Amino acid sequence: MRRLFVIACLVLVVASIFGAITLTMVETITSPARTELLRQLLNEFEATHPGIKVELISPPYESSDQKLIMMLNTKQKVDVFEVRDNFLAIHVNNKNLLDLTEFVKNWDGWNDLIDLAKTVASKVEGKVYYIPYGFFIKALFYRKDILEKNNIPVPQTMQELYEYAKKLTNPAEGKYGFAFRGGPSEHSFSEIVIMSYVPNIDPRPNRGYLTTDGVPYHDTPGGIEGLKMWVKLYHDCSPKDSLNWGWAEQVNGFVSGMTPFLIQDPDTVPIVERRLGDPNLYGVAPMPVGPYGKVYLDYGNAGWGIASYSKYKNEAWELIKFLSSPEVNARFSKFNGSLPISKSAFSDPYYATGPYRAWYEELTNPDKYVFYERPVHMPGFPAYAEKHKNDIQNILLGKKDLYQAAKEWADFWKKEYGITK
Amino acid sequence: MSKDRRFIFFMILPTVLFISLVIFLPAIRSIIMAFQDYNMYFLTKKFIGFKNFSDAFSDPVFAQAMKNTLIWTLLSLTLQFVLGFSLALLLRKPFRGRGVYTALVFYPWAVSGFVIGLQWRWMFHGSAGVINDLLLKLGLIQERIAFLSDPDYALYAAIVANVWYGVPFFAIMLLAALQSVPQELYEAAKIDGASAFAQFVNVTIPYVRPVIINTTLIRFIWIVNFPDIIFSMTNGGPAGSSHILSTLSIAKVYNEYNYGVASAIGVIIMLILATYAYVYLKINRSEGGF
Repeated sequence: MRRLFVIACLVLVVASIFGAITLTMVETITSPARTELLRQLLNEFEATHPGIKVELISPPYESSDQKLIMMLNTKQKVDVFEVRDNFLAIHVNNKNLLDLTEFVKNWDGWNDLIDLAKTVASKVEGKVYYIPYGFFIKALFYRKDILEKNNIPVPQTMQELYEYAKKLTNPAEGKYGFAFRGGPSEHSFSEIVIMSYVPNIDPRPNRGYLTTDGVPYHDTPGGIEGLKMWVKLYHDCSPKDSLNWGWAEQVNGFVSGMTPFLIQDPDTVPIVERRLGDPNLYGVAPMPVGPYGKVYLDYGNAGWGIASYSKYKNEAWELIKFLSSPEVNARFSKFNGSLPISKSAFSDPYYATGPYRAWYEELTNPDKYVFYERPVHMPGFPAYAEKHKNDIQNILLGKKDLYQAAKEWADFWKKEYGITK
Repeated sequence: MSKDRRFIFFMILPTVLFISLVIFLPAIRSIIMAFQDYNMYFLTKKFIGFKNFSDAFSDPVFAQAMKNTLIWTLLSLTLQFVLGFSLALLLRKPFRGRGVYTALVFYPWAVSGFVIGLQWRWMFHGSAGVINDLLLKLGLIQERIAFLSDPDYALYAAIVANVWYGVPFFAIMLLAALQSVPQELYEAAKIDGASAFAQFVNVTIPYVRPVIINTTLIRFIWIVNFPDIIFSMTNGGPAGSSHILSTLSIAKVYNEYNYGVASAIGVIIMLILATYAYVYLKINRSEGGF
């Protein structure tokens, strides 16, 4: 009896070694609905790739990035993981990301990627460290019904945005024009408005926040003018408590009709549409431009990469190829609200019409909509973002001098870039 | 070592090992981290002396957080204690429905601090919150106050939530202590002609004093180390004006990925609490409290 048991155990062990491979995949931008979709896609992958199983780990969103980094640094079993643009540098520095350059050379899908996708995939030393699955680019949401009622057109410039938002503002009735963002990640909103007043932002990678003169934009005359505009947008057009607003409050303000102008990413479309219940109540326009006829937009993105220490690198690459194929990526993007990565997807009427039309405009008018990268890869960035948030809040509260703050931000980046002038 | 002693030693050993593993090891680890360059960008883990401490001290938010920790702790503790004690005195005498009432009163203690923070965040909301609504309707304010976005109010809003949360703890502990005061003492006091107030000061207080000392000591430490409510209500904002040391430490990890400075702040909290506990116990011992 005992011998039988031992043999049974041995058989099990051997079978698990030579039998099916299990890939471990970690997602970090977790939400229950997205996890469900991802699982469904993984099931399809398993069905077409016998012998490979995929285990999906979905840590709660609030601490998912920290959890993933800890898992990688302690070399726990991870094969494929979600790479967010702001963590790319961390993963590369910690040598936890596999260089995919060789894999990509033999992959047909590479040529179908939009240029932006190719650029970001290979932005660290020209090596491909991940394949993005989608982009988040900001555009202007507006409430059609409220604008029509007040006879206000869709703003084309930042100045118009301010004027129209001010017209809509009436604090006594609880009505405001602009869904201001003062809370977490405020920099990715304030900087759009502020930088649009700077004539010469350098769009090259690794030059984030610098002008073509090679200095930080923050305390240039344009930077100061833009910052003043952002402050005016708060004081004249936004609810007082928006000083600390995050995403949820912004969306609430927009959906409830309190703040009919909202700057947001494409993933906000499904939520706005569901909560408004009527797609005719809102529209999305390309971002208003600054006085120089252009606006600088950064592009948030995330994708899939392979752990450098993975034992199943080839199988992991198969999985990434599957997730990055135009058909699967389009399904994922429609659900996720991110803009797809392949050229073929943009001929899809879903992206050529309706609210997504605005992003299509942004992606195809490079003179007006200039894409640049925030220096998220530099070690000082998180501290800068925190300082920027605190300083802006203090400026709005009247506790900090605007010029002083702008100078401190410029000095911060001069130090980070090692600029002496 | 006698046979008994050896036996006792080996019986205690597993507990000591277990406690060392789960309590002292992480504590020591975090002390080590406080002296390392421990940043998610570069996991060099190089030893850098006291740089994390000087970085923490030079952060303008740190001084504010230090001051806030004091306000947060003393105000919360005092109010929780006074209200909890009053509640315990009220619940001491039997009345109809006391069981149900007691259970209702103790309810906040059973809810997680994070959830409480979310509830109160909604109640204090600047444009849709029920508290603004009530104050407006009562005519106490003319326009809505952005409680959580105004540095003059944010910390105090969190303190209100914390008091609401902590009252039942004192009520539970003090009620148990009050019920153990022998009735004969009050009868004797009455015969001696002591007023209700004199009975309270001379019989009740001395009898429950050890419980008061222990609960305030424990509660003080808990409140200092209780970031949940602030974290979920204001996340330290606006502009860091409602940070206490423990939330600042969390912010250093979550917003700046800087484990070294976060650990340094943790060590500072540890030192403050150790000093506090030492002084507090010393004073009370010398007065013969135990």
